[in-house]
Amino acid sequence: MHISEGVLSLPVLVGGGGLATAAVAVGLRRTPDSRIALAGVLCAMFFVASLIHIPVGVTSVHLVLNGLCGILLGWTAVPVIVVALLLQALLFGFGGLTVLGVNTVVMALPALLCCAIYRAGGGPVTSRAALWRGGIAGAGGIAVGIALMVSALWLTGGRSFLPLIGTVMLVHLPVMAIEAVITAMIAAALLRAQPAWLNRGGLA
Amino acid sequence: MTILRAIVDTPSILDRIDPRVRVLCLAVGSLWAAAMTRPLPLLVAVGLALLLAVLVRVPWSVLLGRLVPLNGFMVIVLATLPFSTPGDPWISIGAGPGAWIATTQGIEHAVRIALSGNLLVILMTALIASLEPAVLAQALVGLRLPEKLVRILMFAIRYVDVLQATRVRIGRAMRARGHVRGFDAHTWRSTAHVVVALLGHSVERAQRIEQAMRCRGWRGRFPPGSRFRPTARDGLFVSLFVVVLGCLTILF
Amino acid sequence: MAGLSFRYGGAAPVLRNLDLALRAEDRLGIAGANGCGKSTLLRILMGLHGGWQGSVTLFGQDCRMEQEFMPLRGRIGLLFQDSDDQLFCPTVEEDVAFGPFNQGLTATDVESRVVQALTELDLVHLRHRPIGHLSGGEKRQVALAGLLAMQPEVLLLDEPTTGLDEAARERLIAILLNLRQAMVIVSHERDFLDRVATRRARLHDGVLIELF
Repeated sequence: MHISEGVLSLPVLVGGGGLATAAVAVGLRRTPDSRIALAGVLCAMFFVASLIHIPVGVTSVHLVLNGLCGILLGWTAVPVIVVALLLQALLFGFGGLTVLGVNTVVMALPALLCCAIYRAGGGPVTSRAALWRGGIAGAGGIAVGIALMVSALWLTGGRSFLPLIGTVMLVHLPVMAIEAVITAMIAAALLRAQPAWLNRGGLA
Repeated sequence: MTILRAIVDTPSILDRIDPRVRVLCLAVGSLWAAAMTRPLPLLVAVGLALLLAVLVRVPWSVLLGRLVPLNGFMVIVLATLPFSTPGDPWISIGAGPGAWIATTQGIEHAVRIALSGNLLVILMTALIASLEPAVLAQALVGLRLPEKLVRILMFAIRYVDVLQATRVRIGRAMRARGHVRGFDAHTWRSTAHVVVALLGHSVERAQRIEQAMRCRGWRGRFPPGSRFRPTARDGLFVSLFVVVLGCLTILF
Repeated sequence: MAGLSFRYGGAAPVLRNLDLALRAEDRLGIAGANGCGKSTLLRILMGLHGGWQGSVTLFGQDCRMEQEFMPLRGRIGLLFQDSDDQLFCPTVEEDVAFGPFNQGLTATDVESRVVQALTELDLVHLRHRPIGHLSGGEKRQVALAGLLAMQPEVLLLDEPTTGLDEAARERLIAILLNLRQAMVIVSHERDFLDRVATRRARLHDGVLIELF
């Protein structure tokens, strides 16, 4: 889930960069030294998980898991996401340096939101609740991300970008559905296997 | 099987340029491309970036692997933007009030987007391709990025391949027991279990790493790592890079 | 002089009332089945494991809390079973430098320690290599170099032959026989222990039996 290089206007890029920098700074401050190794290894994990493709009809979508990242890591998710995006940009050529800020906001802001939603009321206790909240976090992580991408495109091109905006929304619908299902199942499985990870404080 | 490695392992002309300088040039080039509004300088810059990619001997398969998905998106941009942007009509398909009118402003905008997108991907590939990820991380330390952030990057670079090997092993074990991926609940559930297993591996791994760090007396700081010493050659490279960008801006 | 005494008693079923003393230049080999508590024993000795009873005396000092273990960790090196856990830095050089740097040495001293440790194990050619590009045997040796760079008096080796092929195993044996440090070597491979250990013990049902 990223916006390509070259599309957005300079003010939008700068604005996204500024927002991302501030969020990363807060995220780093809230990550104690003793959790740096964990953050790094989980960053590698989310990077590897994003290589998993799920078949959808003739094509396939890959996992994003920004909602799950937020649930597990809270604010630490922001630096973890920016590093994962940097690796994707530099080593795979997805996205790039100029859109890194916007793409970080697109993925990390929903992650923080998912974390808040998931932990609202002290975290789920039953498997059904975990399933529901996981599903909402999975779908929400992508939905809010799409909304942010659409805003960035709208701020750049206004009405003239409407066809692009439509394409972006259409392409991400299956992603959102798959994310919702998979994140729900992950949350339910984690509640059985590692309930402590889902509580306030979580892993980080 | 390694995911994170230098794309180019043959010697290239950029090998002797300080990695920090290469990252810095990429940053400068990216800003220039994002700020440039006229298509012609971008077009020439794409040509020069391609030349650099050839000089660095980036394999065509790698470059195309990056440019084809990008330009899939660019095709949509080029196909829609001319018609959705208001401005002076350039060409019209059909006639009357229902006609599709492409505007010069729209075409210019679409071409600019396509060119700068391609330029940035080619430039990034050419400048970074022959860098080992580990060296890249060291370069970012040298560029004074926040220590914690770079450490997260270093841990990530170090363990991506370790975890990928785990993922491949799990996938193989699943296929060995007859698992076929499809569009069904079974696939989704088993994918969720793979992620949970990877998470478990990661958390245990991180705990052992923390123990190993404590064993070797870690007190919250990391050694500075290898030092880069910029040379006259690096200065020359930066100057050349900036002069080329300047010429592109003025001449075209 | 490395004198360790270790006593473990109480609820945990893995290890019961263990007594263990190590003299300088001893290479104590501890054998035992999977899951008998060999690795736990080493982790307790490093202060990485909580919830034990009894006493651990390292270099004549009673250790219980993290602060008591911490200053002694430079004098004891633990070789982890999985070298990937231990080699967390991007390149060989940085990883070997990690320990000496934490000991508060100057940059020059750290560098000379790195060179010295790599030379001792004949690994200088790997100095700038990213860790990910090393073979299993090389990783084990680099991890050992990382410990030696701290100039420890005692080495604790947790299943050092895991995942090594024949050649790498032979090379490791040669290295261990060459080192002067006292060692506790935990392994389930009897013939490996036969070749490197000067003393042998067996951990069975949580009890350590000295063999010779």
